[in-house]
Amino acid sequence: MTATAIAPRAIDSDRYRSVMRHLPTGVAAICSTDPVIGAQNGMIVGTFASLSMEPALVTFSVMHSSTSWPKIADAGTFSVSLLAEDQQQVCRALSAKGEDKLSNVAWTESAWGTPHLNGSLAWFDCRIEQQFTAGDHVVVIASVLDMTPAEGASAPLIFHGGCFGSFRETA
Amino acid sequence: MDITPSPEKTPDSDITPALYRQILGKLPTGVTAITGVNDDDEKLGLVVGTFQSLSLEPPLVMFCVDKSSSSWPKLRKLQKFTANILSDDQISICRSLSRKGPEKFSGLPCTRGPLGTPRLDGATAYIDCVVTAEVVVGDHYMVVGSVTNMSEGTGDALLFRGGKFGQYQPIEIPAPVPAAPAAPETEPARSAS
Repeated sequence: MTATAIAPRAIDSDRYRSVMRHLPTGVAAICSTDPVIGAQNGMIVGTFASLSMEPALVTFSVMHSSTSWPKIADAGTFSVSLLAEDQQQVCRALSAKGEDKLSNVAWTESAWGTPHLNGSLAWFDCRIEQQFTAGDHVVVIASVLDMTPAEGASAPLIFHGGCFGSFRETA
Repeated sequence: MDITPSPEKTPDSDITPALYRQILGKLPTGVTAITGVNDDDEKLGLVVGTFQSLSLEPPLVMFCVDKSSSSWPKLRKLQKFTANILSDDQISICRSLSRKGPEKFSGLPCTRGPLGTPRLDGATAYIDCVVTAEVVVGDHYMVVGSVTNMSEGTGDALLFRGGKFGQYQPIEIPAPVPAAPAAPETEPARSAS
């Protein structure tokens, strides 16, 4: 990775946020179970994205100062639950600071030993393959061990312009 | 640099491209046109659903593009681009730029941004970048852009999900329970990421 020779004009964080809030994002919960003490850890990301089909890889980024991610990453294997529109409370519970964030959230243990949040649209079981630092975030690249869609069709939770919403198909 | 996990290390999985597409199709995405212009004044563009915010300080963004893209190798040479976050009345522009072939940019109204790259009229936001890193991961390139300029446009964002275009639908807040305080939104998803 090479640094650019052109010094970018200073863009303050308020400006960055006010422009990037025009980009809608899905909302994903990243969770794992601590292999030693058996406790669950979780966090919310708005940057979960598809990456590669062959091999099957996904990606997301996380603030390098996150205290949740190192705990989740310790397990090596983690789950991604794609949140549905009625899971705003789950999003809030996992966005809060503190221990044991999954204690008030319904989840089921997968065959991979990861917590799958009940009521989500789909679940991915993943293994960390690569992590690299980019500015104030860490980019995580993970291989997909398994992926499971929920039965039935529900609408996704979308974060956009500072608010929660969902998807309406264009007529 | 290729950072694809080595085949002997990647887990044996029965995830076919069809299953991958079906399940990742449940993830809603914005629709972003990556545009540039070469020395022959040829406008170049491609559409991605993976454009993401990445870092506030320094300001960085990223996107992933399929290795089979014919436009990205041309755009890469310029080492700068504009990410145009498309608005919900730009479906036809999205379709034009998703086509193969050299003529796909013709007739699309645009204005040159500060880097000289085309900003498509009517997009909901413009992010002008220089490429600061690119890595190969699996069947895609992952591109990191350093933001030099950014500005808001007009309209509301176009969404894509499960092969269909759509719009953001605000969730109706249920009528508040009497005596309950009007609680402000807690930590939004993006800042928690």
